[in-house]
Amino acid sequence: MYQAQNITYAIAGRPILRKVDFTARPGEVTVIVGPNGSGKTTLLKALTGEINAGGDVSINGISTKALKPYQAAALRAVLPQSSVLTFPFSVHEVVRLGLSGGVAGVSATDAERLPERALARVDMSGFGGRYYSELSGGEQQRVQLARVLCQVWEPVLDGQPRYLLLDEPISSLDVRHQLHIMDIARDYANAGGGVIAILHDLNLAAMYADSIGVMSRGGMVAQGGCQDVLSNTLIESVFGCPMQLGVVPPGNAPFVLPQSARRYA
Amino acid sequence: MTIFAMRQAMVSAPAGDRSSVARLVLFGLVALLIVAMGLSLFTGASNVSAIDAMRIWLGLVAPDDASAVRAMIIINDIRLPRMVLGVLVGAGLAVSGVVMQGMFRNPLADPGLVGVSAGAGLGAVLFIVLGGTALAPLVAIMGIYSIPLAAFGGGALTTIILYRVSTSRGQTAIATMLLAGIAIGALSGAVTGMLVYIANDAQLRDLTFWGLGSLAGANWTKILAAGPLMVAGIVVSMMLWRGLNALTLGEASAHHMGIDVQRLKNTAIGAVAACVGAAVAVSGGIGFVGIVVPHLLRILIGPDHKYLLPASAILGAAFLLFADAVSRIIVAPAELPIGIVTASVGGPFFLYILLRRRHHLAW
Repeated sequence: MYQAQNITYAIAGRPILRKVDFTARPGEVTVIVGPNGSGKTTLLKALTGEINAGGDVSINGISTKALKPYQAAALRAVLPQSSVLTFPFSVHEVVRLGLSGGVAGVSATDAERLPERALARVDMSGFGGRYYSELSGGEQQRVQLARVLCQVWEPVLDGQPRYLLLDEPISSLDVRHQLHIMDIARDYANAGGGVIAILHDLNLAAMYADSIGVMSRGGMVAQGGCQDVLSNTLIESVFGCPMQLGVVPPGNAPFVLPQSARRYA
Repeated sequence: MTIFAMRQAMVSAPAGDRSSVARLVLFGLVALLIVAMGLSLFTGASNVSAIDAMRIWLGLVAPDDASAVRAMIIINDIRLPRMVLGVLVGAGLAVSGVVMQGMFRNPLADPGLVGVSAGAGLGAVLFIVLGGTALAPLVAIMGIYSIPLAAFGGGALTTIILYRVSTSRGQTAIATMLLAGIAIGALSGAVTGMLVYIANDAQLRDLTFWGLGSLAGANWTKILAAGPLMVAGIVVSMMLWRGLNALTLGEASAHHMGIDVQRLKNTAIGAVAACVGAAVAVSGGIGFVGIVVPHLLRILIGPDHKYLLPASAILGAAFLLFADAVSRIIVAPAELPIGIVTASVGGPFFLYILLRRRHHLAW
């Protein structure tokens, strides 16, 4: 379990996170939603230890303060919103970087082929020889995901579930690849790992999340199952616009339809 | 063998994996270095040949043969220390370039360009000029190591200042870094100038010679004094490859990937200061090795530090030995300061990089 309790963080006296509690369980996809500036990315940074926030964060019961950087890297991998590379790396070399810090959990011989497998996983087979800088934004994002997957390839290692932390993993992807990446997250959770993802698309959140955390103004206003959290009043008040919630047959997949107050008034 | 072997290696490796090519290039570079070492040992103002050297080393020289004794002195006490020094300085400067570029995430960072060499120079000049008077007690303690250690201190201090000034939240602004380098360099130059002003005649000759950069003063004492620091800096740099690789994605990502970023940066600064400080202390201001060598190698084998660091060490050593050979041959029997040779190769090369990158520079 990836758990955060009572997280507070302020920049120059201005509170960014106010006593946030958050839990992500192994075997589940946990999605964080909220409007711009609600503190989603800052919460993710607190979870990874990138910022020194007040409160307690623990992974599988171990406080992150007690974990050395390499120990934390063996338990969780992080996909940032964007990555800038300085030097002319090939796509294969970028993905291989994921092996340099983490513990993939595969044998040494398998590790050599892992970058190729990871590229295939994100539907980027055949791109290994290209220069990273020549790819489109969406392709770069998928390559970065392949790198992150390499770091914690096996979702469970020595009985310890591992976690993928994804900050807007699908923001620059086309629809097909949005679903593809969310399927990867789903599969990772189904195999026993945990996934924490920040998403802006409420429909994809509703479709894939086992648990949704809703953030607003630095606080976690609700966390729970889709049915419990995605209520008209909560979503409308957090995002500040009218929303229509419903289900689509045959699977009764939930959907969220924002409605412009101006156009349909 | 090379082209065929390279093709073979590339066929079996996954696309985009340049590590087998890098290994082949490493072998090629070792061969190049051996050639450069031979050139360094067997050419020079006096015509002592490879055959003479072999006879000396194999003990085939009669002790009463005057010309053979002279040849022995030339080989063992002049050319051999000069070659060893060239290898150490070249490797140290090239490696410190790679480490700085990795730490600043910027292919233009070079110890010479951003004032680290100037800072190291200031430390060295301080001890050359004041070593007999104000700093005499320190010299008494540190002995032959005092100038290399002073240069190390100066180099470390400038690197730390440079990093503090040009980097905020893990992002280095290229313009700030280069400008800060100019400012630090100018300040070090001004203080160095004042020290030169109060120097006596003998010190002045030392300083002038040293300032332009040269391997000519090489002897075993200098190698003993600066060698350990340089070897330590080079060895430590080699061990930073994982961290420097991770850092290319930014400090946050490096942290996520399990790198202790603060420790990595401290170690990198120490290693750079050791390499540059020791190199400056014994051979003065030899510039551009740290930018030309890594840049060429990135084109050839890619930016993976696992291979870039050792390859740069070897090519840096070979490059400096070739430059030294040119400096000795071109105006023989006199010789040109080697700094002039490296600068006349490196200056245009640096301009070329700037031209190619001018659309990508983030000002």
